Amino acid sequence: MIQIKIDYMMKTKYLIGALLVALLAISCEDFLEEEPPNFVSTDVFWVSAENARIGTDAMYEPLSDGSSNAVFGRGWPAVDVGTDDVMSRVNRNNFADWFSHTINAGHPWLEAWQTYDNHWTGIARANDVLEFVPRIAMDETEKNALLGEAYAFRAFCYFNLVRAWGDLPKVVNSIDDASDFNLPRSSADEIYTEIIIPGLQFAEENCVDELHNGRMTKWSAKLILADVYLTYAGTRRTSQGEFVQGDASYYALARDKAKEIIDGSPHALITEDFVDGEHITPACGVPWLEAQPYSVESILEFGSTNVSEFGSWLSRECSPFFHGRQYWGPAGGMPLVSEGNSGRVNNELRFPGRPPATGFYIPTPDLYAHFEDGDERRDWGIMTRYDTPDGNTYLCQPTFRKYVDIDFFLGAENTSFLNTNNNFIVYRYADALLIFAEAQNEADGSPNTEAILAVNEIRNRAGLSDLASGLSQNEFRDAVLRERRSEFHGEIKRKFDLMRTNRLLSETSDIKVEWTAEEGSLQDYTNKHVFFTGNEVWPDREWLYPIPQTQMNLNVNNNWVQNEGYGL
Amino acid sequence: MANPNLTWETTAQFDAGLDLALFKNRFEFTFDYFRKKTTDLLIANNRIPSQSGFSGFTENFANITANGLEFSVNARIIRNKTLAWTLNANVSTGKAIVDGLPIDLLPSGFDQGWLPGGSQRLINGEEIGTFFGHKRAGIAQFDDFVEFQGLSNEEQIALYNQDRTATYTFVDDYDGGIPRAGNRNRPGEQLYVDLDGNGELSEVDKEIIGQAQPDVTFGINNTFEIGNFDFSFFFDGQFGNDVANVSNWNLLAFSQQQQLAQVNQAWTPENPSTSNPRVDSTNNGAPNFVFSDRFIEDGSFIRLQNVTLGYSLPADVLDDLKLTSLRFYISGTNLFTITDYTGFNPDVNLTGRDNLSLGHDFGGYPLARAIMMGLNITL
Repeated sequence: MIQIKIDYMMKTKYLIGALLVALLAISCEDFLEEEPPNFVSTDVFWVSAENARIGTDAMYEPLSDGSSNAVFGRGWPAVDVGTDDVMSRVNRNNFADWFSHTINAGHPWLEAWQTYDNHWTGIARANDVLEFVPRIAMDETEKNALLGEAYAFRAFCYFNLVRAWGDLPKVVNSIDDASDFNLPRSSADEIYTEIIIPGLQFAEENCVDELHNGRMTKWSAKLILADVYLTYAGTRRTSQGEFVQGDASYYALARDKAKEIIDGSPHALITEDFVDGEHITPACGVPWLEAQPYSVESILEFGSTNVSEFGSWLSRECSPFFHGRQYWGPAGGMPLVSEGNSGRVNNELRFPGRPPATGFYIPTPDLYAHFEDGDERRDWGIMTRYDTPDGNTYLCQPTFRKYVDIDFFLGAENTSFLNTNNNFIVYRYADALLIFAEAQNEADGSPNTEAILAVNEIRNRAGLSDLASGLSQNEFRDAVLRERRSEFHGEIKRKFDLMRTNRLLSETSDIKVEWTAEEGSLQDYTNKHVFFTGNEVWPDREWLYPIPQTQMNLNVNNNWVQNEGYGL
Repeated sequence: MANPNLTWETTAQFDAGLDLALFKNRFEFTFDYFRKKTTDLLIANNRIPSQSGFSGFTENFANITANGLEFSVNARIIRNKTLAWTLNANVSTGKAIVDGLPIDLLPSGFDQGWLPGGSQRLINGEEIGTFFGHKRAGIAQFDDFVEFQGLSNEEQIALYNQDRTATYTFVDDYDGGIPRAGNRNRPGEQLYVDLDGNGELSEVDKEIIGQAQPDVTFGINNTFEIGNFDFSFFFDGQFGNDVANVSNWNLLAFSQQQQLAQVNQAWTPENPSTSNPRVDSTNNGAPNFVFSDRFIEDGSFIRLQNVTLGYSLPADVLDDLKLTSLRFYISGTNLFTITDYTGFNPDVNLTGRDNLSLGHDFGGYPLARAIMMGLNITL
């Protein structure tokens, strides 16, 4: 028997569709109209002033989120790795390519760490605020303050992106369909003049006039704008590899904007030490005290909460080694455990909180040596020793204090590397002072009294004497840049400073990479990554990072061209 | 991001079959040809550019076309009172091919993000489950470098040992592969194909390095009945599929961690291997990881899935025991696998059901081998 069977059928989904149509016919309409219970849709969210506030708060999260992909809580300090300020410890390979200058577009810092992506998430959320908040019936001043926050935050994200990656797509709409993001890269000039500067100008007019509490204020916007002007006046390299001198007329704008903050803001430099029992935090360190966040000095500060899994990871990533043994020298150099006990301390040479010795971001000996004698910022900011409750002072591996939740390092209860509350201060009143001083000197050809006062205010607070009088424009410029390096160490400003002043090549060509005995340690020692020779030539292409390779692939139809020097 | 244009996937399927039964249904053959085309494929969380602020987007796009042949036979070869032998077998071929993608090289496969673009890509006109990475091109040897020319072997070894992290210059007429970065130009390094010939390993040097879908899958079952004994064995297997052995990303890193014994054959100056690189602590870890065909293996296998031997008591004994039937049996599953695959099990899928990441062995739990004995009684 032979049986032949041929069938042809259009299948499945049509059948289900037909069933649904059948159901519709026999159902009442109310039954079918459901509010989805498991998510909040755009239509129902942007309806009240309260929700407008919540939605605006949400835009900060991608940069300050406590997670392994946090930008200011983990990945962004890598911008300064490989400069003369920041290195990684021996055998810590994550940033090996930063030292050998072989960064490629597939590096996990660009991809899995989402340093690039998270800025865009922040921009998208700011765009949502700008799109939906105007439709809400609410107090106009309050509404414009929220819009100002969104403009300022979006500008800040673009400012980071444009300095790190150059040309960018101009994403300015709430994403509704693919045409909102399928865009070519626009020049850095357009990003500055069409998005960053106008956004901050709106924000400085409309944001709240208050001290900073984690949200963009009028003064946050003005200070970011002053930094933008200062940066735009300086040198940079384009995505096409061209060297750009910058528009010097922006120095005057930076000067005036910084002056507005000095003259008109409620912010000030903290000048009082903080005394807690035997612990004395010098005034220069008080803005970073975990117990009193958002100080009068802070103008943009990203928060981190001491709730499990929500803390900043920086305490972990900045910890250079398990213990301080090499730093003490040979075993015989270590102190006795106690009188009558001939054993040498060992475990005590580590912080009681036992931070994991990740060592991504540790200070260079070059930075340590940069500080003037008597500068309180050095011994506070670069921890090389700590006092135990039993009265002994132990040496530890040099560590950035600004990156640490000291409670976690000292083993306080309910702390862990995921469970910290060290906020990241991005801008503070000291920025206004030093931007003003630098910009005034550039714009007017020589320093005026106010500029000198501004620098001296910073210096005096750090326990240093006034600058010598009668400095020329060049001498004063050098003095301000030296001061910036001391004041803002660890604050992710070094590489950007070196680029805008065209010193990236010169300042990284002879970096001191070995610690010598007199620098706090009991012996010469090194803890540097093997590729960090201190005299690698910084290639022109690495003024900018490559666009992450995945993004290049996804934007192939948008005609993106990779930054110059990184291949395709 | 909401997508107001979501719609059903549409599948059009064409089947042509031939059933053939011969000799009073003693031999039954089935041939099937199928062509299944799914259009408006609904892809959840498809990667979109990050300037959207979203990592993924659920949308209808692309088509998958599967063409294939299936053949099965059910043959009662011997049918006697004392001996019966039945053979069931099936063989199928066919591949699912994707097209209609907006762009080539869409990320898929394992660990998107960590491995930029993932271990597989969706490429117009290529199979689902196409592995995409670098092809190896041998190991750098002394003679590839200017500095080692004209030296005796002892001198070459001595020069190499002076500084094992030094970099050297390839000879003028060198036309082999390149190491993962320019600062690794030295003997003993793994070399990769430099497709664009620019001397730097990059995205454009990646190519198709394997296919996760098999060419052929089959199963063969034989059943014998000899008097009161019954005996059956069942083989299955597949040919022509590649597997990404994800565990080997660490185990064959030629680095300082625990490694497979193969690392004993690493390149050393005294025994310069032509297939294994030198051991180097900086090989390991994310920044230095290169996804290459070192981690792709042939996943073809034949497996003895099941053997069963049974004995049923004869009718006269059953009558005495007042039972309808009583059968003892012993059965074994997963008794052996013939394969060149070095992991536990070549028949793997990363998440079990993610059709966009076929053929990844990520420390999958090995299949158990089971021996069972049993007794069936019918009252």
